[in-house]
Parts: sequence; structure tokens; C-alpha cells
Amino acid sequence: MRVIFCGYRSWSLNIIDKIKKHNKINSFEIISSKEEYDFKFNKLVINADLIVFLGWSWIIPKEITNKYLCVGVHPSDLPDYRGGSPIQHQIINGVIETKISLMTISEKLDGGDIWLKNDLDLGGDTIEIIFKNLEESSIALFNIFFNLYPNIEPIKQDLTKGSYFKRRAPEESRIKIEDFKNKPLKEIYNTIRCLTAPYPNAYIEDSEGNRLYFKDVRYVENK
Amino acid sequence: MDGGLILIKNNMKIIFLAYRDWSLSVYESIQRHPNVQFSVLCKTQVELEKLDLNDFDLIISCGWSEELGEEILGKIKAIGVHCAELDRYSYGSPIQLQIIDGITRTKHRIFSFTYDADSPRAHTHDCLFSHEVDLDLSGNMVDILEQMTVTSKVLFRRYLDDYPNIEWRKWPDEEIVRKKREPKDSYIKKEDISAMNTEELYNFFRCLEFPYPNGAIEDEYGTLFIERVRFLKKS
Repeated sequence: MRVIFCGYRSWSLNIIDKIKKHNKINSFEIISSKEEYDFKFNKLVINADLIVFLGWSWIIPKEITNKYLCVGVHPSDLPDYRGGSPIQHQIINGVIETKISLMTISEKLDGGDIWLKNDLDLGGDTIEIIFKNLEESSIALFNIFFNLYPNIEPIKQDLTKGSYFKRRAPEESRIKIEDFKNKPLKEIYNTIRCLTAPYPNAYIEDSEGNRLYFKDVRYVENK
Repeated sequence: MDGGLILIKNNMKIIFLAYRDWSLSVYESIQRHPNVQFSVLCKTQVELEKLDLNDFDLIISCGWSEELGEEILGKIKAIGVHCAELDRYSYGSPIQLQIIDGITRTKHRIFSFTYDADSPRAHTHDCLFSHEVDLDLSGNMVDILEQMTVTSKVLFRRYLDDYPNIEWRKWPDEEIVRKKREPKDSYIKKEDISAMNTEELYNFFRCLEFPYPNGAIEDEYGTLFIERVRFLKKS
């Protein structure tokens, strides 16, 4: 198999580093920036059986997805939590045990066919911990995928089910001071931990516009 | 003059007391001082009690919480560093209490380490200091402790440079007693959040960052520990 991997975030590069060595892969190329992607896909002849996108932030045009088999990992149990900021939306909604879904990238955002799923733990005080879980789960998922390929068929998603969320904006990282009074602290904890680095940290703002950012927290439940 | 003794420079035998990370980092610099002939690092009171104090000239304590006691201080001169404009904040938890009070610029001073069973003060009973430098209490605890490592090195090295010709100055007594903080003081109720402004909350949480027991907010279901914060004042 000839595979092109596209990813620039450190967790996606860690995944690529592990899965590129699979024995079904005869040759591979790694594209790690948008500029490199634009240059290669616009100027060069692409010769690939599969293109893997990991944590890729840019829309992939249908000319590419129609021509090549493009797959990506979405950190939710699709069709639930399609769209932007899936980790944050799930954590804020109290989801701890979820899935990662290996899907075909199609015109419909996160609406492509599903090849495989694997467990993903959204517990932990920081996003760094969750990225580590995402890395490990994705490596296992891709190894199973390459082991099975081409004797594996994807399953269509039922897009009448599930849910769709928009990408969170930085201003949504604000916690209202009243929330501390009105919401259980565990909810506040979930909001803060899913917005630890590299995301815009959760903060409270007073009437003078001064902000207190929460960088790291932990929560202990009463016994 | 220190006790009227004239010691030959280059010949000092030192006991260095430290157990906190920031203070342990000071030791190497003291060990290397040209006037120090021999030094021992003690991390516990038990280690200290095993030494024959007659073999040493000076105890340097750095971030040491325990009282050394009458017996030890009756046998050997001891100095320490304190991060406040003494007599203020001389009763314990000086970093936390100053930050909570909104102080961002203070002093780091060498004081004469003494014992008084009847005094509520921590170690500083005879109200004497020798050397001092400025200390910036803004920023996160990691920044403050990093600074204290450096300022402690400067202070102790200056003291050793000048030894035995140390000029002791008395600081004026102050009536206000700021009590040492207790673990329960690190907890606030959810309702307290709205009663404090963001800068007060920032000061409360940042002064309790690692290595201290973190500031925490409690409700009936659990406790949220705030490990690290950042403050942005609207310009």
C-alpha cells in the first residue's frame, strides 16, 4: 500500500510515527503543513492508495476525496458529536467513555462511512492526558485497520441520528462567576480541564474586565 | 562583630539546614564559598542532632520550619532567611500572607535565628537582621521560589564574605500579629467566589500553588483544587 499521512499536531505526528511502520505499507509520505499539502496536491502527481488525515484543520476538497480513499479519525462515537470541538463538547456534557471513529472523509463533515471504532477515555485532569489516550487508541485502531485492509467494508452512517456541534470560539471559554454558585463544581471542573493547554484556557471575568485564567485543576469527589 | 570571635577566613565549618527544593538548590553555592572549609547538609532535625556542634562555627538555615530549640542555639550561632519586611509577617506563612494582603514587593533578609519558648514569632525573637535584598512577590509560585533560591545565595554569600564582621540591625516591633496559616485556610466556599474580585482570587490561588497545598473550592459533592492560574488585568 502507498499511503500519504497528513498531520501537523504533535499527537497526530506521534500516531503517524507508529503506524507508518505497518507491514502492509510499502511506501509512505508525511505531509506536515498546509503549505506542503497545497504544493503537493496542486502541483504534483499524487500516487497513493490511501490518504490518512489526522487532526487536520482544513477542509479537504471533494476533488481529492472523490479521487482518493481519504480516511480520518474523529474522537467521538459517530454519528454523535459530529462537527467541531468534539472532545470539549463531550466533556462539558459529562461524557467520560467514548469512541474514536475511523471514517471515510467525504463532503459531509464527519458524515462519511465508518470503518472501525475503538474506545477512548476522556477522563484525566488535562487535555494532554486525553491526547495521550487518543494517540494510543488511534495507533491500535490503525493497526487493526491495516491488518484487515482490503478485506474490510465501511458502514454508512445514519445521519438522521446522532448530534452535530459547532466549533467552540475562544470567548466560550468564559465561565460566569454565578456558575460557581449555581452549578456543581464537577461541571466547572469539566469545563476547565477540557480547556487546558493548548486550548484557550477557561476564565472568569469581573466587572472591570480583569480575567483570571484557570490553567490546571483537579477534582476530588466526596466519599 | 559576631560574638567577639575573630575567625580565620577560609576556615569556616558550616551546617546547612534545608529540605525544600528551592532551598536545597542554595547549598552548592554555599559549599563553594571561599571562606567555607567544610560543610554538612542536614535535611532533618534528627540528622542535625547527630552532629557534634562543637566541630562547627555556624548553622545556616534555609526555609527551615522547625524550631532548633534552646539546647542547639545555646551552643552555636544560627542564621536564617526570611522573606518579609520584618517585624511584619514574622509568625509563619510569610509568602502566602503577604500575597493575600496584596503585597508584591518585599524584602528577603538574613535574621539571627534564636529561640524563645514564650514568643509566638517564628525564629526571629531578637529582631535582628544583617543583610537584605528586594524580593518580587508577583507571578506564580514557581517564579517566586526560583527567585528565593537566587536571593538566598546572594544573602548567604554576602554574609560569609563579611563574616565575622557582621553588622546587626534591629527592626522595630510591630503590634499586628498575622497568624500562621492552617490547611483549612486553603479552602473557600463556592459562595465566596462572587464576594472576591479576580485579583483577590488570583492572589489566593497563586500563593497556594505547588509545592503548597493547593487552594480549593468546596461544594457538597466534592472539592475543586486550583493548581495553576494566570491573571490578565484589563489595560
